[in-house]
Amino acid sequence: MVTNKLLALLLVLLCRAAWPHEAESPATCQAAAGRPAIADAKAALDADATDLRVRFRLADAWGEAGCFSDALQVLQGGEAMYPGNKELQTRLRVAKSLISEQSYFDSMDRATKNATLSRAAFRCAKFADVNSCDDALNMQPNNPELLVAKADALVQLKRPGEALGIYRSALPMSANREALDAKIALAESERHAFLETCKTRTGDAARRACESAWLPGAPDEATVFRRRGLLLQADNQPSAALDAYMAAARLDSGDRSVALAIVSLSGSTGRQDALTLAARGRALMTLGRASEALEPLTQALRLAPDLAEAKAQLGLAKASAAERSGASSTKTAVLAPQPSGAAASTVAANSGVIAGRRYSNDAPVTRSN
Amino acid sequence: MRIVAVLLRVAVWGCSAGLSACSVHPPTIAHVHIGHAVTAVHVTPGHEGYLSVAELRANQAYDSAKSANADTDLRQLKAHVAAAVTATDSQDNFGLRQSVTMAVNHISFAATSADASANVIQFAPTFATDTAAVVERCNYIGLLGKDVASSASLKEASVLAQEILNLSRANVDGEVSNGDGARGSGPPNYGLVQLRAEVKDMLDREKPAYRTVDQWYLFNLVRLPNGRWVFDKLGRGGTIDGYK
Repeated sequence: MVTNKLLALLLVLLCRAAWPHEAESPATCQAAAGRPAIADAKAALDADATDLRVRFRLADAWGEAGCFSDALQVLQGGEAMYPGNKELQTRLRVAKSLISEQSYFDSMDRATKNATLSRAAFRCAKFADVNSCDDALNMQPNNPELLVAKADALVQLKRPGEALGIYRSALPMSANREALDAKIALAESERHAFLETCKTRTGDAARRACESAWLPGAPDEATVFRRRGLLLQADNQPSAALDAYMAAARLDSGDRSVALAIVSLSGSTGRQDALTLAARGRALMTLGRASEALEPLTQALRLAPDLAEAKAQLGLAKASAAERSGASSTKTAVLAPQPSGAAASTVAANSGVIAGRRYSNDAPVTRSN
Repeated sequence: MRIVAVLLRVAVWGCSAGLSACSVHPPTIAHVHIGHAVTAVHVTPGHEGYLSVAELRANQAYDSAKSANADTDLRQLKAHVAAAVTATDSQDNFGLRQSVTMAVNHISFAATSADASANVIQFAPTFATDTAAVVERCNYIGLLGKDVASSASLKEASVLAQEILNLSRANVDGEVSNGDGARGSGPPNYGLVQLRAEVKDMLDREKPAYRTVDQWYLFNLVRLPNGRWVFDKLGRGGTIDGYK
């Protein structure tokens, strides 16, 4: 008898050792119900709920799947029928222990994550460390205190433009709107001063002022990029200038002065990456040089086949080239294939072109390079 | 002295074997595990219980953090912060984090013992969860300690040392909550003072009453390969099957 009890205890402990120590999520456990070991044992227990061996088999199957709560439920279902059963009591104790262990491990994981968050938030607030602000916001993206701390850090780093956007995003969640409004007013005033310097001055100070005044989404964003491009170009930094112009063109594709600069700088820097080639193609389209745009756009798509904007521009360039060849050929000639109305509007929509606006190859050609 | 020890062992052995003439009853296995958390265990410095070691380390960390905050020399400040970090988190020297975790483990062992009371079973998971604030502060101190170690600026290191001081203090007697200004109100603000009080309250509720467990039992509880806990009456040593 004693030997049997010892064997039963040993079996329980072995079962515990065999069970994984990581609990699965409720969704995983729901899916695990279809596993043969669980489904078969469940069917057998449904047929005879008084069979304790089958109940243990089902609890073990749940335990092996990492579903300790389900295992506990099955064992608890036998308590009323077998109140004095030692093995059942031991198994219940082990199952409860595993559940509380898991909850403890979860709290330890949280303690590790929270410490990382606290450190990042502390560095963000105390040292204006924007990277730490980003680390903290990655963990809690909608935390208004962290958003304000990041914006404060940006103001300290003389980047009131970026700070403004973040202050405004924190506004609806903020508990102290009055204080936040005051911060916004201050950042706006600082940004205005930087914007003036960006627009009216030259040299390093003006370039830095443009960076400080940059406010993502603001109506003057394209102007800031264009001005920055101009200042960088004047400072003999053609590649950085090209990046600034490309950013300006993404916001306002119809600006001919920006398009001219992109065509010029993409040629002089010799940059052949997909984004530059696509920007060159689009700039040529803006300037009405559709046939020249075909080559850089085709190259861009060869390098990055999923570049949606280049695809759209290439569609427009081809259509424009076909139109032109159709107009210049004899009037009896077969017309070149045209994109359907629906296809053309899709291309326009994908490229961000305003509906109804078409590029034309008939526009006067002005070469900048 | 040796004779007394042998006599005590014989008495304990006899009693634990259930001799009716004996008036000394061995403690429950659950109470011995709790004894490791609150009274003594043979592996710690000075054989102190894990919770006592945790209290000692928390105070050492707090003292070192206070010294760091008085430093005007970066090298000296770094040395004091390093000492605070070692007292807080050291695998080799039973740091605060390790000692608190071991106290949780042993109270959990108690709760899974066959002779555990409902009171102990109910308390163990609560206690485990309530230690999370201390563990979190220990982790945070460790991260800030690394920042201090790599800092080249006394000003920056001093700001970090101030935060370490706040955390070390909170680990001793709890954190001030925003609401009532009191220290240690609610588990997220608990320090060692509140955790000790929580354990004491649990022990006060025990029926039959918890009595400080004799050192012989504390140092001779072993786990057999089949998982059973027994007292090592044959004196084979205190670490059969790796039990600490």
